[in-house]
Formats: sequence, C-alpha cells, structure tokens
Amino acid sequence: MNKKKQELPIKPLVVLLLIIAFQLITGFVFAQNGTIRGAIFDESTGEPLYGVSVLVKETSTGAVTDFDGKFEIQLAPGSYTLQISYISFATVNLTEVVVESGKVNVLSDVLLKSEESELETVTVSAAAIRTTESALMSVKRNAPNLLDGISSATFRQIGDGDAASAVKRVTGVSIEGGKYVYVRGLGDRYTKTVLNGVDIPGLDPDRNTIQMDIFPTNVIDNIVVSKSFTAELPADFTGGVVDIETKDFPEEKTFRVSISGGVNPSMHFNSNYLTYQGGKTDWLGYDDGTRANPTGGRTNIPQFAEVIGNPNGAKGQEFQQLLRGFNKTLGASNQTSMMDFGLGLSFGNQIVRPKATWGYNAALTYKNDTEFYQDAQFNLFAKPIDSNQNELEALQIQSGNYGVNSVLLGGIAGIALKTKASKFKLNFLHLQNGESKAGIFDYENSNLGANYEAKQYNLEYSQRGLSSILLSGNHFLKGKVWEVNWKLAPTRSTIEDPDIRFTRFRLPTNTISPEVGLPARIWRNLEENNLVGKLDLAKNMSLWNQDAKFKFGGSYAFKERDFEIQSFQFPTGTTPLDGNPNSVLKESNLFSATNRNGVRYNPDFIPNNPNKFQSNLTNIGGYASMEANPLAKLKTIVGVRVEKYTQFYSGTNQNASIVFNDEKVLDDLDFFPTLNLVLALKESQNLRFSATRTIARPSFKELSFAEIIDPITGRTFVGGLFQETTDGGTEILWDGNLQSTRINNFDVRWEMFQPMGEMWSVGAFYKTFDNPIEIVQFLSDPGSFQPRNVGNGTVLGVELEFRKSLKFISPRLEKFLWTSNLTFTESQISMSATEKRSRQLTAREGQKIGDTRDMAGQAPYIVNTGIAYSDFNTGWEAGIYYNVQGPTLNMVGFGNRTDTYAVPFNSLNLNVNKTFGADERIRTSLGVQNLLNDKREFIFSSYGAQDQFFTQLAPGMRVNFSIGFSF
Amino acid sequence: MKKFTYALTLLTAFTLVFTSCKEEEKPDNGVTISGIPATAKIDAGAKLGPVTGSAEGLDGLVSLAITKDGAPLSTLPLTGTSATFPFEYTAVAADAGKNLVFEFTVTDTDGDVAKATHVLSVGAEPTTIRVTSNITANTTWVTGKTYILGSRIVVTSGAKLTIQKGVIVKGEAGTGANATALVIARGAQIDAQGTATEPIIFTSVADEIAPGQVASPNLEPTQEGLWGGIIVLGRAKCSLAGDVAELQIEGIPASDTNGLYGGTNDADNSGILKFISIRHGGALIGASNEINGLTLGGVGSGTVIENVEVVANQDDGIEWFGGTVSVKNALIWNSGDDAVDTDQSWAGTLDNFIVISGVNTDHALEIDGPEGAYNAAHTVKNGSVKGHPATEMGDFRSKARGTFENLYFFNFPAPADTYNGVANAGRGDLSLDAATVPNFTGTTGPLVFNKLEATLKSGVTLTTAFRNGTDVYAAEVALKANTVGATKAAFVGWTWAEKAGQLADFK
Repeated sequence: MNKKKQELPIKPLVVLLLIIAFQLITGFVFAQNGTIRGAIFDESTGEPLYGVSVLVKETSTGAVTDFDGKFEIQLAPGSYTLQISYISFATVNLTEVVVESGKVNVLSDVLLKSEESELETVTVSAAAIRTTESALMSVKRNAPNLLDGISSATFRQIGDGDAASAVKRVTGVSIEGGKYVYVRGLGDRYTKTVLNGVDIPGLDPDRNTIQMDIFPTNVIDNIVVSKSFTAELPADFTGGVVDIETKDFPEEKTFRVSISGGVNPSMHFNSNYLTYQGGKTDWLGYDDGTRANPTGGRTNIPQFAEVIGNPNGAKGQEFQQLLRGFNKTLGASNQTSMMDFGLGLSFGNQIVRPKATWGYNAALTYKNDTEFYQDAQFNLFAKPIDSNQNELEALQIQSGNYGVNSVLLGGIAGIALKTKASKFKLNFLHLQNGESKAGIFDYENSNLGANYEAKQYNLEYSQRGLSSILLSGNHFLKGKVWEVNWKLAPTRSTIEDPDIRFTRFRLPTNTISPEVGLPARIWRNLEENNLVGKLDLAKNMSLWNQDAKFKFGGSYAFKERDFEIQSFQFPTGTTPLDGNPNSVLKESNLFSATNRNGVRYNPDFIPNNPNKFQSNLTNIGGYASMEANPLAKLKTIVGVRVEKYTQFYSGTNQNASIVFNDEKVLDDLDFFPTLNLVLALKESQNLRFSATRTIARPSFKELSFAEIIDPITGRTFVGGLFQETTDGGTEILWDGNLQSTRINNFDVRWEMFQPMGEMWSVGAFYKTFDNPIEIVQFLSDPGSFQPRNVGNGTVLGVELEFRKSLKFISPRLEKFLWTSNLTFTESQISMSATEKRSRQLTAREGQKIGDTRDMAGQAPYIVNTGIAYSDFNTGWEAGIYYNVQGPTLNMVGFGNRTDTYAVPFNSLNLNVNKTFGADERIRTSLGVQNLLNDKREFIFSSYGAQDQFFTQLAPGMRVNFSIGFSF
Repeated sequence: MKKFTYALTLLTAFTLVFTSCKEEEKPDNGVTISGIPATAKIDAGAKLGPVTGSAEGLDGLVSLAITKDGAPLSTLPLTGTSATFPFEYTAVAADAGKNLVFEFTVTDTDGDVAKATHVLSVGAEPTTIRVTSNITANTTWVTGKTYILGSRIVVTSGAKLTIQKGVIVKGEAGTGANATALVIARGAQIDAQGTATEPIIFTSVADEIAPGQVASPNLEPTQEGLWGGIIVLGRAKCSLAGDVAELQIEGIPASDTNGLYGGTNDADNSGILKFISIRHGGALIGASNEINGLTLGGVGSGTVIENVEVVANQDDGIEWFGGTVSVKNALIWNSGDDAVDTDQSWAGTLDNFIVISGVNTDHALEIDGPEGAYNAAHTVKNGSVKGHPATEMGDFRSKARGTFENLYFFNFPAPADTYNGVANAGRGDLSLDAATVPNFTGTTGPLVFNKLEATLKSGVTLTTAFRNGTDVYAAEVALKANTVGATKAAFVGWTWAEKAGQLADFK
C-alpha cells in the first residue's frame, strides 16, 4: 500500500527559491517613475468597463482600460488628478492621486454611474474611495443570482488565517469541526466547494466537500458563496457553491514574509501532552516510511493458521519476519507540547509590456499546530429496556486525553498573461497535510453482553496531499460582444492513514481478549484523480433596449477513486501481559518455533477485501441561459442545465458473493431549470426571487459494498448497495438501490444598499427534498450505519443580514461597523414506516411518535454577528465576532439508540490589527479565539431523559498573533 | 485437446476432400465425428464435462451410440446433416484407478459410421474436499473424508447438510469477516451425528488430524483463533434490544442476511448435532463481535444437541442468544473468554457439562438477562467446573434469571489473590451485579441457586467465593468428594480432553 511515497516537489521548490532571490535583488535596483493602477466598473452591473478613457489632467497623457476594466499609467513622482470618462456614464475626477518614485499606487475600484442618474461630473479624492468591501458589495447587489462573498481585504481585517475561519463570516455559512462548510445549516452533502470555478476532490472519503482549513488566506483573492442556482453552475448543490478564487494579477509588486503563532494555555507547554515517535519528516506533513506497512500491502502474505504447524518452514519464516516488521510502539508517551507557529511567504507582480501584461504570484505556507484535549469523552448511550424508564443507560464510556499535531505545507504558484483580447492563467497548487494523534483513554463497557473496564491506547497518523493544475483562458471577440472562457484542470489527491494503532487492556488484570478487542493496526489509502474541462460562451446583446447576455456552454468531469483498507489483528495467545502497550510486541512475546502461542498477526482482508474498491464517474453538462431586462427595473435570468451523470463501481461484498466489475451504479439524466428575478424597487433596493431545481448525489463510498469498521468507536459503515430485510426477508427495509436526491429551491430576498458599505437584507427560502440521503442505523445490527434514501423532506428558512455603521449612536462611533447575519430554519423529514415503527417500539411511556422529525444535519438557526473597527489613518483595525449554530440532529437513532445532536458552540473571537511604518510595511495582529471557553459537544437526546454526552471536547481559549513584513 | 481437435479436423477435411474427389458423382457421403478429446483425467467422485461433440453426415444423421469399456452406455437419436451432443460422466468410487474407454459411434441414413474413442483415467477418490460456496441443496459429507471450509459456508434456508460420523471439517485461515465458519441459517438444517467412537471433528487446516484420530497430532489444546466456528441460527423467540423481530448474530457482518436469527417459533428445528468436537476457532470481527465455538442464536427446541466438546476457542465455548434449544453433555476446555455464556432470555436447559478453564478463560458461567421486553429463563444443571487463576466461577448480570443447580466448582483462586501483578484481582468468585440482585429472592426466583458445591482454596470461605447471598445454597466439599456435578462417563472415548487426561479430576 505504501508503494507510492509522498514526495516533496524538490524541483519546483528550487525554482521558487531562485525566483525569490531574484525578486530580492531586483527589488531595489531601478526607480525613476511611479505607476498608477486601477480598475473601472459599471456601477449598475458590477462588471468591468472596457475602453474607458483615463486622462491625467496635469500631463494630458492617459490610458484606456482593458477588458478587465484595468489601466496603468507611468508618471513622474507627484500628485495628479485623473479624469475618468466613458460614453453615457458620468465622468469622475479623481483627485490627489499620489505617485512616488519606483512605486505603484493601486487605486481602489472606481464605479461609474449612468449619466442620467447623477450629476455629470463627480469629484472625489483618491483616499476617499478606499473601501474594497463596497466594490464586492456592488457585485453582490448587481449579481442576477443570490450570492455572498468575502474578499482578501476582509481576511486581513478579521485576521483569519485560513479559508475555513474566513468563510464563516458570510451570511448563512457555518463551519463544522473547523473544516467543513455548511451553507444555510445544510450539511456538506448539500454544499459544494470549487477552486477557481472547477471541482476538486474531497480529501476525506466520508465527505462530499473539501476541508476549507487547508487553504491559507494569503493565496486567496476572494471566496464567493452562491446560494441560488444558475445554469452555468454545477447542479449538485443545494445549500450553496463555495468558490475559492486564487490571486492572478497582483496590482503591485509584493514580497511578504510573515510569522504567526498561537498559544492555548490549556493545550500548550503542557507536560502531560501525548505524542508518539513518528518519522523524520513528520514536521513537513508526510511520513518518511516509518509507518509503512511491513508487508508492503501484499495480499499473499502467510496467515497464522498456515504456519502454526511449521513455524520454521519457508512460510513460517516469512510470517515471523513480517511479524517482527511491525512497529513496536503501541502507546502514547508524554512530552511537553509546543505552541502553534507558522510561516508565510508570498510574492507577486505584474509586468506590463506593450502587447501583453504578465502576472505572477506564488505563496508558501507552513503551519504547525498542536492541540491537546483533556478529559475528552466518546460515549454510547441507549434507552433502557423498560419503557417506563426514561434515563439513558451507558453502553460505553470512553474518556481521556489526546494530543494532535497538525502540519500544513502549502505552495501555490500562478502565471497569468493578458493580451488585448485574451487572458491566460496557469496555476499550480500543492497542499500537504500531516496529522499525528496519540491518546490514552479509560474505557468502560456494558454493551453487547460484556461488562468490563479497560485502558485504551490510540495512535494515528493521517496524511493528505492535493495537487492541482489549472489552465484557463478568457477571450473577448468583437470588442466585448463575445466572451469565451475555458478551463482545464487535472487534480490528484491522496489520503493515507498509515498505521493506525489500537490497543486495549482489560482492567484490573491487564489482559487482552476478544471481548475487549485485540490490538489492531490499520492502513488506509485513497487516491483520487479528477479531470475537469469547461467551456463557457457569452454573447452580449441588446434586448428590449437593454443590455442582455446569452450564455451557453458545456462541462466535462471525470473522477476516479481507488480505495483500500488493510487491517490486522494481533491475538496475544497465552502471552502474559503487563499493561504496558509498548511491551506487547517485544521480541520474547512474538510467535516463534519455541513460542507457538505467542503474539501473532491476523490479516482481516484476505482473501476478500470489501474495503477495496475502484469507482469512477463521468458528468457531462450543458446549459443555456439568458440574462435580460424585460422591464427597466426587472433583471431576469432564465436558463436550463442538463447533466448526464454516470457512476461505475468495481468491488465486492464481504464474502465476494457479489462481484461488481465496473458496473454502472448510477445513471442520471436530469434537466435543471432555473429562474432568477431581480426587481430594482429603488436605485439601492432590490427584490429578488428565484426558483430552481438541483440534485444531491451519493458519494463513491456510499455507492459501494464497503464495510468499514472504525476500531475506535466500534462502528461500521455499510455501503448503500446492500439490502436490509426483516421478518425473514418478507419485509424490505432497504432495497440497496441508493438514488440521487432531487431538490426544488425557492428563494425570495429584499435588500437595501447604502453608502459606506452599509446594507440590509431580509430573505426567505423553501426547499423540498425528494428522497434525501441520511445515515441510518441497521435495524439488525445497531453498530452498523448505512446511507439510505429516507422519506421526503422540506426546509423552510428566513435570513436577515445587515451591515450598519455605529455612527447612528454617536458620530464618534463612525469607524465601527456592526455586521450581522441570522438564519432560522424549520426542517422536516417524513419518517419511513420502518423508522416510525422502530421509534414506536422503543417509545417511552407518554411519548408520542409523530410522522416527521428534523432533517439530519440541518441546523435550526445560525447566528453570526460582530463589530469591526477600522481606522486607515492610524492603521488600527479590530473586530469581535460571535458565531453559533443551533442544536443539529447528527445521527438518526434506530432501535434502542437515540438521536444524537450537536450542541450549540458559542464562539466569540477577538482580533486586533495594526500596521506600522512607511507604506504599512509591517502588519501585526493579535487575537483571542473562543473567548467564552466553550466546549464542543454532541449529545444523546431522549424523551424525558437527561442528555448524555456522545462526544465532548474542550478546545480551550487560544491567543494568536502574527507579524508580517513587506519588502 | 486443442491439438487433437485440430488433427481431427485436418483428417476430416482430408478425408472429405479425398472422398469427394473419388466419388464425385455418387451421392453417398461419409460421416464424421469431432470434438471428443482422446484422453482426460479426473478423480473418482468428480465429473467429466460436459464436453460437446459434433457429428456431420451429408446423407443425414441417424444416431449416436456410446459404449463404456465395450458395454452400451447410451444412445442418442440425431437428425439433419450436422448435430452436436453433450457428454458428461461422473466417476464413481468403483472407477478409481482404472482407465475407462468410451467409444462414440455416429451412423447415417445409409449406414456409414464414424467412431471416436475417449480414454478416461480415473484417479483415486480424494480424501480432502474443499468447499467454497454456500450449501443451497441437500448435501452429505461422508465418513472417511476431510472437508475444508474455504470461506464462511452457509447452509441456506431449505437445505440440509448431513455430516456422517468420523468426518473431519477444517476451516481455512481467515480472520475478521473473512473467518471461515459453518453457518446453519434459519430454515436450514444440520444432521451431524458422530458416535462415541467416531466423533465429528471441526478444526483448523493447521491441524494435521486425520480421520480416526481424536487428539491433534501437532497442535496444543491452547491454540485459538485459527478459524471461526459453528453458528446455528433459528426462529425461536429472543429478547432483543429495541424489541426488534430479529437480529444479526455476532461474528457475521451485518450485510450477510444469512446471519439473522430470532422469530416466534419456539419449536423450531435446526437439526441434530451429536458427538462433535470443535477446536481452535473463535476468529473475531471486532471487540465483542466474535465467533464462539458453538453459537446458538434463536435455536428452537426441536433441535437436538448432545455430546459437544469445544476446545481452545478464542471467544466463548458455547453461547446462547435467546432460543429454546437444550444441550446435553457439553465439555468446554480452555475457552478464550467465557465457557458457558447465555444472553437474550435463552429458555432451554444445559444438562451434564464440564468446564476446564484455561489461562484465557474469563468466566466459567457468564449469565445475562433479557435485552428486550420478552422474559424467559433457562436451567443450568449437573455441571463440574475446574477453575484457573485467571477465572471467575460465575458472573450474573443485567437482570439475569434462571435455575442453577447441582454445580460443583474446584481449583479456583481466592478472590484476594494477586493475578498478573494485580492484587485482589477478584478472580475465583460467583457474583451478581446490582441489576441482578433483586431477581435473587431465595427459592422463588426468577433467579434460583440450588445445591452448589465447591472445593475452595484454603483460606477462602463460602461467603467470599459465593457472593450476594448465594453462599446460602453452597456447600464446601473436599476434592472429588462432590455429591453434585457432571458425570464424566458421557465424555469418555470421543473427547480430546479425555484423551489428554484432563478428566482425571472429575468424577
């Protein structure tokens, strides 16, 4: 399994270092004139304006904007006024534009208004337009579909270090476990993440979306969250599509170095921290082979029953040799924990040549974070037998400490080329993440007819790699009449869990037996390759005397995944043990000719391995949509998308009685109509309406025969292709025919935009789910869970968002901005007959079982609110933000197991930034996360019973700081 | 065979060309036969073919006659100018070591004939047969043979597996969900009747035991977990959590529906198990999800189980999950977890049993109560239990109920003894958990103890060994002076324990 080792891309690194050196040397050499750069947008559409004249009044020289609305002028040092004019738009005079020798003055986006609406000429000073957020706000206001976003300017202000913490500032967005996006409280099944507009594979086989925390904010230009569907977007989203756009043309030459750190008093510099000996390259985010499988992943290794009769035969020798190749460390050891630290390096520039503009951009990020959870709990509770007793009974109580060290190494490099009518972009991205965990738990079991206390030792390592290349082009034909965009993106992602180690000793006698579980070792491997191609065409035209746009295009996506788990058990025979996990595999305990009843290995995956499968899918899409204004105040976008989606699976069930060989498991042809209307009530007020149809499809793992046992929780994931029947096969509980979920979405929103980036909006949405997929417990085996289509569901929600300057309280508070977004939802799933009966069978006395329940993963409310302070003159920025998500149904209970819920986590974070020096070359930030010191909790909830913990973790309060230098 | 066909075709073509050249004007055409290999080799009991032969005769085919060693075997009418015919032959025991000569003769309308000869060499009947797929039709495993379980083999509903006396069944290596096992699914039956001189032995492929032997020639009686075990499932009532109608038996992945047990037919009949010895099994899927030596899930009272030995199973010796089946004459030696384990309101009787604890034996008796609303109780009587420093006499839990009488315990440690470096390890006693204590109300039930005897380690009193008041029903006796317990005569001749001299301490 570990044939392919994760290797660092040495060559690109060397090239990168050379470029950095070059940058440093050339950075201080030539300096005469200065440069002004800026971009001009149409205020009413939010689109860049092409061919705008920018005249320097003092010199009568000037420039004309390109198709991105951008311009550049070289001038001798001084202060100038720019006259920006375009036919049928009001002219803007921009005063006090300062040019310094050898420097680039990047102007904020200039929005031009239609002539009839305002005065003929607007005069404004360059410093006064300095609010990037309002430019994004303008895009938001004018977009025909419902979208929200956050830009790099805001990342700086809030001090968010990665995309996960940044994106939760967006209305209706929350982050689960610090990693996964929820839009409008809908779980990641209904949320899609794309990078530069193309699909990237999720790194966790259990998830549909990608971890957001692996994208450092310094490579991101902006994150846009689309919440209503338009035909050019992929159809498989419901809550939203999150598009992470990386930087392409830096406006000015930058070279930034930053260091950051974080101290969590409850986790860091703690001598009780748990860890274990890893490899020499753990600090770089990958394993050096220390955790390699001694068998090399072979499946022709000898088994114990084959060698017990002849330990010194050829097979016996091989067995003994392999057995001795397993790493002997099974238990965590104490070591004082380090604080979090990180390094960032980024640089970029654009080079203007007469015929073309080049842009380049690269960033390297290194983060090394340490977490230590003390008194963490992972429990199982169930309803008691007697229906007149309400209080839940413990089946398993697992509590203890565990340490996590997580390393992220990320590199991104991009080159962009802009000519008169075309733009090309080539981007490389590699992210490497390694996570090492070590834990010691007290374990108490009263489940499955076994009562005992035990001590449990867990060691885990997980490494993830993502490499992506994006080549894209934008072409403008006949001026800006035709716009052609294409994208081609191959991506490869790997996830490896090499050598998960699990050991449990029964107390007080320190024995190991099948009842407590044998020591186990697991190697898990996932490889996914994606190829995505897209072609989008747009024609700008005039319809009903208004600008209109006809868009059409197609997309092709191919994804393939190889997945394999190999696990071993280690029966200890008649070996006397002393409770020390690190002595279980000592030489004198191991099986040999003279110790035939010693510790040995048993491979779980020979001859059949249901946890080995290959899947692939092809999704061919096409669309056409029309954006037009049938009335002056009404903007419409009507479209339809078609997707032909086929998924194939190769794998077997456990006893290989069912063998699928590239069998088609999903074959959908769907049409997705979309309608979006924007009615401009007043100039700054919109009323929006949209009605669309979308889809949610089962994942590779869900459409499989995989049976994946988690040795830590003892739970088994069962692939959706299996049937479950009851009453002797007479009643089919699940037919093994897992289908996609079709969703109808309806949205209405009123919004009002005010100067200085203030805004108000109120919206409502309603969604119907046809055959939603949820994770359901197997009736005949409560420890097994399976994805199934459950009864139809609905979600009704209300959203409120505002951004308001606090100057309405007192003018002195002008620099304080209060932003809030609130989402409330009501979700319902009509229960299947089976689920209802199971609930009735185990109902408590007096408990009524209805026909509906909450939808799993749907939060009833999400609250984001915060106050930001910024003063550009002094360089001070600060913000305090609060985020909470209501109690959310996590896993659906069946039989005597109850539903589990996520308990609201009250997150309160504070951040302060200050810039120093000429050109704000030094940027510092200080923040405190989780000021309320809240805990992350999941609970078992049952009628009339006290809630019991399913999971409880204390993340503690964390103080983080960073300092960055620009050269 | 390919070569042969090729040569034959060539010859035929040659003949055809030759004949047609010679007798162009005459309409009398010859006959050809092809497709029959010249030779083949199979074992007795195995089947040749079916192979497909073909015949051609432009004048019209009439018939095919087959002889075996000169004697007519079969005739088949043929029509048209070209025909194919299947041929198969199952070699019987009497064919072993012989070369059988089959002659195929094709005749046409005007009397032309073509002949082909096939020589079948029949080897000796194999003594080892590998079973790799589920048993879906009535099947018999015969005396003198060894059957290898190539995977988890299920006798599926409606089928019956008959195992004759003296048969040896060996499970191949495999663990977790890949553990080899013999599963008698609900609606299926087993008829495994060994005798006191020729028991049926279930063991691992690692065991070099051959028909006729009782003790393993190469494995110690402590080697466990080399294969799965025997799982018998039925439709009798069980007390299941959440009051579901049926449940998946432990040791079989949830996706294999042949692992379901439970129902409403208490008189269900899964067949007969007599004089069987199960050894070295107990492979497991995960914690508390393992295969017992003999797993009885929802097995009904119509089933007969007598004279069962379980040696060195990695998990429990015999575990009952509900059901109503009774077991007579059971011997459990060196079980890896508990020896006798009952759950989910088993409602049968265990009568005359011996437990010999080993270094991994946890509880000699592990008795659990109901898991659902359905309540029933079982009887465990006439047993002799030999302890080990690692072992407790009995653990009664989760509202356990039933009658436990005429039981004799000896060779147990003192609960205060140090075990594996742990002082006061609490081994060597019989105890009730808090949930069970209310069920124990003397002689009125639902938990009843009667006539318990023990030979205690010096210094141990009845109250420290028999806790929660059970000492009232216990008496101390000298070694082998017990008046209650098992009768070892039932285990003589056919058990490994007896051959290994392990019954010396028993009466």
